Amino acid sequence: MKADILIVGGGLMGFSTALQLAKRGKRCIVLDKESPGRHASGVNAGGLRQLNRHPAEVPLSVAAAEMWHNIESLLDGDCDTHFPGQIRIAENAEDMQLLEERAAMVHALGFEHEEIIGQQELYQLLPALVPHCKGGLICRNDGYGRPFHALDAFRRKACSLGVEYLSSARVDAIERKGNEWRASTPKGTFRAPVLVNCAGAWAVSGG
Amino acid sequence: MKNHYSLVIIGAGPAGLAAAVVAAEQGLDVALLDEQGAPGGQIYRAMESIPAGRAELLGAEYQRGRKLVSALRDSAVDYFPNTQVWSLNRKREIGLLCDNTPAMITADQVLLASGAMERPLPFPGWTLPGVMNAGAGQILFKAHGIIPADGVVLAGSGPLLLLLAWQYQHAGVNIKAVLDLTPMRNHLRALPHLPRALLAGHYLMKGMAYKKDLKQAGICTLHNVAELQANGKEQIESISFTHRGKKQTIETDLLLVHFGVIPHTQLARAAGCQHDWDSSQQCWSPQRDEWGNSSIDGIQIAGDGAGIGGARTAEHAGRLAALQAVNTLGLIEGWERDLLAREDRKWMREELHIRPFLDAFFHIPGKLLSVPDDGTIVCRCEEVTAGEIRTAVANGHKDSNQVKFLTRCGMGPCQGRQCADAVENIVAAAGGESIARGGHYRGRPPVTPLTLGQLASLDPGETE
Repeated sequence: MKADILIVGGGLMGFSTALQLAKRGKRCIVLDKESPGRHASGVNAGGLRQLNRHPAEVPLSVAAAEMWHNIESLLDGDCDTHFPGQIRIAENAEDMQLLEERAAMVHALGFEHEEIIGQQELYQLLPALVPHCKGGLICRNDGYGRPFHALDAFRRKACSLGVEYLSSARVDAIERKGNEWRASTPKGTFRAPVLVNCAGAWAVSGG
Repeated sequence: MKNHYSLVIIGAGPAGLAAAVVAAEQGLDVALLDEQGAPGGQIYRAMESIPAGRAELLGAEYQRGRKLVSALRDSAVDYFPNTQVWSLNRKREIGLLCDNTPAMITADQVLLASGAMERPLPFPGWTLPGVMNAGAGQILFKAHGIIPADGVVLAGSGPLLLLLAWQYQHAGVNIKAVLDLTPMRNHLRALPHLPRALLAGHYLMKGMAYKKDLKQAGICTLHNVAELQANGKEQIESISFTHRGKKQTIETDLLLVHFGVIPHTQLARAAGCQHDWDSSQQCWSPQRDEWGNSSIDGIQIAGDGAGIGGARTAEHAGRLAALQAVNTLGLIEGWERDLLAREDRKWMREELHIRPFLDAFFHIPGKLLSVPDDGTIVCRCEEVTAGEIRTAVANGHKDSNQVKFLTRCGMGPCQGRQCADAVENIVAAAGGESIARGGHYRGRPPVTPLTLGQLASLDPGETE
């Protein structure tokens, strides 16, 4: 079978890629070795976090937060998202110093989502916290969703836009023939000029 | 308790008891772990403490257990009652709670003799207080002499239903009705197996004698009953059903149901043993050979936990597995094992003559297994209904594990013991994968509830 783009892996990466491409009129096939979201996409803590990202990840996580806050305009469901905020806590003056440096670094990159809060606000937000903490670094619009439900919503939206999804179709081999990639699976061989590897922990083995 | 044994046997029913005694006789260092407070399993429960009168009411088959239990008491087996096993892995590391104290022990050889459980079968109203399993009713009677005070309706399909009716009738219980949900067409289904079953004719004779007794006592027994339903608000008030095309209602505050038994496979699954779908027994059973060897080296399975064969079969299978363990651990040669096993192998073959007939006769109709109405709760722990399961299938979740991911069915304290098979049936009937292809819930330790405190109080030297 032939498509514009082959996507290996039916997790969140795979379906998000497929969904975005399908919205732009591309014909995609998602090949999955098991069932949708069987591994890390289906079972994880579900955190939607910008706080404390590596500087290189900050712009991407801010763009992702934008997407998650407006998820219902992209998908047919809210993925059970909630945004109560996330806080990194300083237990002593030394920790507090580190958090302030971190906040300054993020501001210098041109972002405002991480801010310092003092002891008083910290205990207003977290009254059950042990009493000796000094303050914290907060990202007020961080939150969480339900991972498998999110994956499910991405899959259903992608498929409603024409993405073809094949479960139990483990890619056993990938080869380049002319301008085409060929992926062989127990459900047949699939061809496309572009192949995206979204196989998660199996990405290296190609499966 | 030592931290290592040559052979650890889990479950002190007929298979575990018989195995433990033989293995100890042959010189193995044996630990027998059992969750109950006294040996006997479900079938021979309370054997050592039961008053003579009650034991007589339970019949000769029950009293057979006395020999097994006293043989254990006379043996060198290290027997640990009140011990729950919450983990087993392929390295034969066993996580347990002995009198609520956690421990990890290891074994050269493990024998699972975890027995059977009643097949949970959702039907409208099955979660109402006052609806119980027939097996639970029988346990209350065996262990405590408790019988229904205000009458009872018995319903379902399977030999236990008849046995319990007979026991209750002799104990003076007011049996309002026995509703047999076995469809008439099962007579035809079972007919080809009748000649072989006649080789174990004593079982058939016994069944017929029970029926005759019940009839003489004037107990109302209705056959070919369908559409069973329990009604009530806070608890059961009545049941309704159809019989000969007519809908009927009986007022009752107790309904005991029974739909056959299935192997208890949670530990075998947690260890990673391969299982196959057995379409004639309508259940999953672990792969095993004649000697109880599972798909994992050093782990054996015997008794009803390996496939339903009944108490006597379990006893023989237990001895065979024990001899195999003794052979594997090098205390006897293969030919010695074969010699010692001769009688048990012969008797086990005799016992199994009845099985195909019973399996066919009490085959649960597909309709009963897979068509509770949308509002019926299937997973009691997480309160997931049949309708939610069907919606999940319609949205592309084609096997029970995917449905579990989405709906949380099977994720509660019972870890899917109660709903796994029902969910598989509903998924298959609603257009998902067949049961054999779709597979069973993936089971992981702990297989029974364990508190963080209990886990944390494990001696650190015992964990890796």
